[in-house]
Amino acid sequence: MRRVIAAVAALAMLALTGAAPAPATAGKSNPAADLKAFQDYFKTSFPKVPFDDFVNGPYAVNKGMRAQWEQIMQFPPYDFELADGKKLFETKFANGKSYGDCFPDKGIGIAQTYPHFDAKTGQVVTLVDAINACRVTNGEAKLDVSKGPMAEIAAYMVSTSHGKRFDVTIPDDPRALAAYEAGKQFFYSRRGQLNFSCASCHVQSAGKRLRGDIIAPALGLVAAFPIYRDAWGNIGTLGRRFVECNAQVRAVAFKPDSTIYHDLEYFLTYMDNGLPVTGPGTRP
Amino acid sequence: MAHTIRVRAIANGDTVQVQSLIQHPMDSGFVKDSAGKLIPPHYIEVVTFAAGNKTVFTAFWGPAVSKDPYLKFSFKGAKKGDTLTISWVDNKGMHDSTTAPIM
Amino acid sequence: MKGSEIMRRRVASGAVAAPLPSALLCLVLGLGLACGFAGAARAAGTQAGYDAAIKAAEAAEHQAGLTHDQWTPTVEALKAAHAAAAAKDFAKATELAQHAEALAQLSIAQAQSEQTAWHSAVLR
Repeated sequence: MRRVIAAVAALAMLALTGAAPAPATAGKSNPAADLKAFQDYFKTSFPKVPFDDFVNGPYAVNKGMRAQWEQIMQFPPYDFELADGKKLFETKFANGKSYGDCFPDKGIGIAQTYPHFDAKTGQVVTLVDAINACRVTNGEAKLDVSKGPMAEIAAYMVSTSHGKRFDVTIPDDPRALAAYEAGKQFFYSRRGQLNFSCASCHVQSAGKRLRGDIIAPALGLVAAFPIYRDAWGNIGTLGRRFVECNAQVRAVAFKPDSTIYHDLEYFLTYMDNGLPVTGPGTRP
Repeated sequence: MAHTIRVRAIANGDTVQVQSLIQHPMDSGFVKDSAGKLIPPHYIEVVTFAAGNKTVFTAFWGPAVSKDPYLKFSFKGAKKGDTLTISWVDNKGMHDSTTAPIM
Repeated sequence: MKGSEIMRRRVASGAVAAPLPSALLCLVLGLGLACGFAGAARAAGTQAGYDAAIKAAEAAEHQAGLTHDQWTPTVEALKAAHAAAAAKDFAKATELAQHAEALAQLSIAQAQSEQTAWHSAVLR
């Protein structure tokens, strides 16, 4: 009898230590399997929503909001800022070069590959980072990463990728997998006084009401960024929204360009692989 | 500065439906900025739509109209191919105008 | 103006009334722990009491920062405690600092449990 208890205890210990190791253990990471499970969950939860329609967030799952949105899209509210973004993108730096010179294909139609993992630095690079890096190499000051010119330039670059499908790759590099796993852990971890994780709303309560709003499903969540948010009255980046989301669950937010948000963006965008790029978008 | 007006006019039978979006802060004069100072009033006072030489729509706006206002209306007496002229003037004397063909 | 005055009066009367039930509780239950705690809280209206409380609160908040899980209410409570201390209201400042410490401890507990609990939420 005693031996049985000891065996059970040992087994329990094993199970505990099995679950406990940090998610950074690269050997266990299987992004492709995660992707399939993630997308299948939403396909099953919303059988009536066509796969490509998930990029439209709350409008894909609520008729009333969709009708309003279709009216709004007669004249998209981000239209003026998008035009400004195009102008900024095409403006030359002091040294005569322009943003196009920093990117493959002159920066047109490449947004679907961001964020990507840079094997040289071992860092996840978002589109916003790449734009700032381009400015720095050309002797210009960095831009604010949450709104204003940065959001406008990113909006224009994303708009040139319309119709293309997200194609984020996670190379078989322990650092890339660690970044992906850190983003995944952040997405599923509860935080803040309200004890909410990203998943509490966008997975477990997707399509339900949060006061007057409809919660967007996590699938397609980042496909329309940068977004014009009615609450902001202008266009903003994903980093800006992350900061806001964290503050809403009463957690102290990180910097919009912090590593943890990069990892989260890496995870979320990877989960949207196969969906069409639709940014910039508009959300309530 | 024609940059601030977006307009779409579509003829359907004998009526023309006009939709427009104007970029303007429309500050009411009652809102404070992050430093706690009042943002001075800055809003559009008059918007005019003219088909050819004839004014078809005039709006007197004030501080209660939202930022980047959207406007939609229909009128009779114009046909496809006519030119629609849109102009606005605000309380600081700034103005803009643009023309668009009726489609 | 009037509203805030009424609020203040109500808060003040509440503060006066508060020790009575807690004393009663001590009497009825005879719990040394509860009485000891009430005693400590009453003695806390001093600079020294506040200093100890704020030190503990800030240490806990720093700890929460290391786990990447700080809460905004903790930050607000700490800020309010500093403001009360600056106004020489040490009783209030101590109370706020203790509140901040409790919140920070909760956030640490949350971060620690989420270290493993998040796995159960993953879609598979």
